[in-house]
Amino acid sequence: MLTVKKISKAFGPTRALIDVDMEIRRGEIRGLIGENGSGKSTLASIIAGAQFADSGSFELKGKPYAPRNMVGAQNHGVSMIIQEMGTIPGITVAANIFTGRLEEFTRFGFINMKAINRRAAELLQEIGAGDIHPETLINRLNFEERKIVEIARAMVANPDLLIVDETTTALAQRGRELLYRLIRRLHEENKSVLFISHDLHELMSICDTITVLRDGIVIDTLEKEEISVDRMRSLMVGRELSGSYFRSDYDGSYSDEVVLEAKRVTSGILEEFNLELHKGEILGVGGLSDCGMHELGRVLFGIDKPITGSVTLKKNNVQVKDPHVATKNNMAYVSKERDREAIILNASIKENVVLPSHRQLRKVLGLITRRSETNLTNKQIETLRIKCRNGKQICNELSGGNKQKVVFAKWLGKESDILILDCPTRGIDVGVKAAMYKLMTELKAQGKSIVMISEELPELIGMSDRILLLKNGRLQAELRRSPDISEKQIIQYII
Amino acid sequence: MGDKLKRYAINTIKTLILPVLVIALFAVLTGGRSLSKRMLLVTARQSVMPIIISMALVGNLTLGMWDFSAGGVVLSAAIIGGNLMKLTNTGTAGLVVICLVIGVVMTTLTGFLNNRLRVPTIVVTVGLVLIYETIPRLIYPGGVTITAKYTFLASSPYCFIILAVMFVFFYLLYNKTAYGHNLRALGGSREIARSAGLKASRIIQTGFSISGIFLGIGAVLHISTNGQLLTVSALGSVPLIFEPMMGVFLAFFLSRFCNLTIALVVGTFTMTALTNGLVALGLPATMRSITSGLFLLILLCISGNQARIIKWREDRKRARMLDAKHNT
Repeated sequence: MLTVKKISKAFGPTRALIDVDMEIRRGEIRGLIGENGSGKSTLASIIAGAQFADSGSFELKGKPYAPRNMVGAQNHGVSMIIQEMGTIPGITVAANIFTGRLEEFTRFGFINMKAINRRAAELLQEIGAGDIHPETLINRLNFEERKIVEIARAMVANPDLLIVDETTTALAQRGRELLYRLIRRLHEENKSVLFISHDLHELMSICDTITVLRDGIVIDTLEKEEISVDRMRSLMVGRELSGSYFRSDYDGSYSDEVVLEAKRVTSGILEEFNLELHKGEILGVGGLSDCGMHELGRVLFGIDKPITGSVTLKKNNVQVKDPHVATKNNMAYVSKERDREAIILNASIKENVVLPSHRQLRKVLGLITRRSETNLTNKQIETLRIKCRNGKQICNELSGGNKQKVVFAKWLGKESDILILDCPTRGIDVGVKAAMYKLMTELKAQGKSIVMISEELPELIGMSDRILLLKNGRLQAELRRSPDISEKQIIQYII
Repeated sequence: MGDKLKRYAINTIKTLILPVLVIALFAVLTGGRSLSKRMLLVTARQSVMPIIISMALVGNLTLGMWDFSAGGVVLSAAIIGGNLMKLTNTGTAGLVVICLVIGVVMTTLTGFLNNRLRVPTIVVTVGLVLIYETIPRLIYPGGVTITAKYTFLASSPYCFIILAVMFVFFYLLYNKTAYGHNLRALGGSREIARSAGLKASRIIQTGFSISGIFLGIGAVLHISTNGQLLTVSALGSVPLIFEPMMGVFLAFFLSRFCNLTIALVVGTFTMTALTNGLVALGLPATMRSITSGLFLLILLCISGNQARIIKWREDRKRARMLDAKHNT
C-alpha cells in the first residue's frame, strides 16, 4: 500500500527522522512504537500531509505520493486521526466532519445542510456512533464524543490507509471498542492501518506487524510471531547510558531539610498528589506526556491553582498561591513550552535575563542602572557560554539550545534556590544537553533543589536522586538513585 | 409543551430580555416618555444603519480581526457617492449603486492589503482609515449636500425594507453558504480549519469584499439620514462604528440563544435604545459614553467569564468529593 523511502526530517539541530524506510502492505495493521520523541508522530504527520519531509519519498499504491496538505492526502486515500488536533468549537458535529468539503454539498451557491446532516448521520452510524446527532453543537459533546467525531472526520474520504496517532489514550472503553471495530473493518476490506500507541498490550492484540523507532531511526520490524511485550520494550529502550554525559555519582544523597512540600494536590488529571523536595536534591518526575507531570510543575510554581491541597515553601511556611509568591521566594520555573511560556522571543537576551531580577538590581530610589543590567547579563552569557553577538541580540535569532540557555540564565541570575524544570533539555542538541546536566549537578552541589520533569528516561535515571513515576495522575512508583535502575523497569510502571 | 418548544420559548425570552429591560428602565426613568410609539419608532429607525454596519463588522470580528477602516469607508462612500449622484444626475438608484461600488472597492483593497502586508489587521485598518478619510477631502473638500427628495431611503418604511433585504442577505450568506460555514470554522480554530484544507487568505479576502456591500448600504443610509455630510480627518470617522461594534459584542453574547442574524438586530437595537434613553434623560454626551461603555463592560464581563464560573463550580464539586473520600 505505502512505501516509505529514506525519509528524513530535522527541527533545528534535532534530527527527528533519519533515512526512515518502511513498507505497509495492503490489509496490514502496522503498529509504530518508540519512546517519546522517537519520531513516530513526525513520521505519521508527514505521511498524512501535515508536515513535509526534508528528504526522501513515498509511493502509494505503486505511484509517487507527495501530499501538499492533509486534504491532499485524504484525496489520495490517506487519513489520520491526530493525537492533539481536536475539533472546531462553535460549529455543529456535521460541519466539523465536513469542514473543507462543504463545497461538495453546494448548489447554486447555497449549501444543502440537510444533505450534510444526512451524510454525517450515515457516517456516524457506520462507525457505530449513531447516537451522536449531527446537528448538535460540538461544544455540547464530551471529550470522548468529540474524539469520535474526529474519527468520523478521518473516515469521510473512505481511506485506504488510516493513521491512528495515540488516539486510544484519549478514549474510554466505548471509544476504544468503536475504533477497534473500525480497524478490523478496514482490515477485512483489504485496507491498511498505521497504529501508534504506547499501550504495548493493545498493540499486540491489534497489529500484524510492529515497527520500532528510536531516535528517528527504524530499529526493527517485528512480524506477528515475533511480537512480545518484552521484545518491544527492549527494542524501544536499547540504549546505554554514557558515563560522562550524566552524573557519575550514585550516592543520591541530599539534605533531610524539606524545602518544598505539595500535599494532596489535585489539578487536571493530577489527583491528591504528595511530594517533598529536599535541599540539594534533584527530584525526577517521569511518565507519559499526559500522566499529570506537566500539571504538577505548573501547580508547584503557582501557575495553576490546585483544586484540593496546597504547595508550601517550608522555610518560611509560605503557601505558593501564584508565580509572584514563587519568584519572591526564590523559586524558578522552566516551562516545557519554551518559546511560548519561558522566553520573550522578540526581546533581547538582556531584557529576558534581567526580567525576574529587577528587585535585586534596584539601587538608590529604586532606580535600575543600565550598567547593573549589562553586568548581570554578561556574567550569565559567560557562565552559560551563550553563543551570541552580545546581550542586545534578539532571542529569536538564537538557536534552540542557546534560547534554552537564556531561560536558565534568567533564573540563575536571580540566584533561585528551587528550580522547577519541565523538560529542560527538550529539543536541544547533545552538546547543550551535556552543559545543562553539568549545570544541574553544580546547582545541586551548591545546595539548590531541583524538580526535573522529563519525558526522557535516560535523563531521569542519569540525573535524579529520586524518581517519582506517574500514571493517570497518580504516583505509581518511587525509585531511589541506583546504577541498577533500567529504562525497562521504568516503562513497566508508566505504561 | 414539548421539550423543543419549551427550549425555544426560553431562548426567545433570554434573547429579548435585554432590550425589554433597557426600554423598561428608561420608561420608568423618563416617566413613560421613552415608551411612546413615536419614540420607539425613532429608536428602531435610528438602529437600522448601525445594524447594517454591524453586519459588515461581524465577519472580521468572528476571525478576531478589528476593522477600524469601516467608518472611513462609510463616510467616503457617502460623500463621493452623493457628489457623483448629483454629477451624473442618476438619482437615488445612482446613489445606491455608486455607494455600493465604492464600498466594495475600498474593502477589497483593505482585505488585499491585510493579506499581503502581514501586519495585524488593527494596524492596517487604522492606517487605511486615515487614507479613506483623506480621499473625499481631496476630491470634495466641502463634503456633500443632497436635496430632500433623495433622502427618503432613511425614512420609514423604506429603511425597514432595506433592513429586511439586508437581513435576508446576511442570513443566507452566513447560514446557507459554504463561505459562512468556512468563516465560522476559521474563527473557531484557524489551525484545524487550515489543516482541513480551508484557504484562510481567500476567506478573509471574501469577507472584506462582502463587508463592502453592507458598508455601501450603510453609506446610503448615512447620507440619507443627514442630508449633508462634512469631511473629517484624524480618525474622525471611527465613532461611526462604535455603536455597531458594541452591537456585535452583544450579538456574540446573544447568539447562544438565537441565530446570529437575529442577535445582531437585537444587540444593536439594544445599544441604540440605550443611547436614546440616555438622551431622553438629558445626560450630556460624556455621561452617555461612560454609561454605554459600563453597560457593555458589565455584560461582557459576565458572559466572558461564564466558562470560568462553570469550571470553578466543577472544581468545587470535585474538591468536595475528594475531601469526602479522604475523610472516610
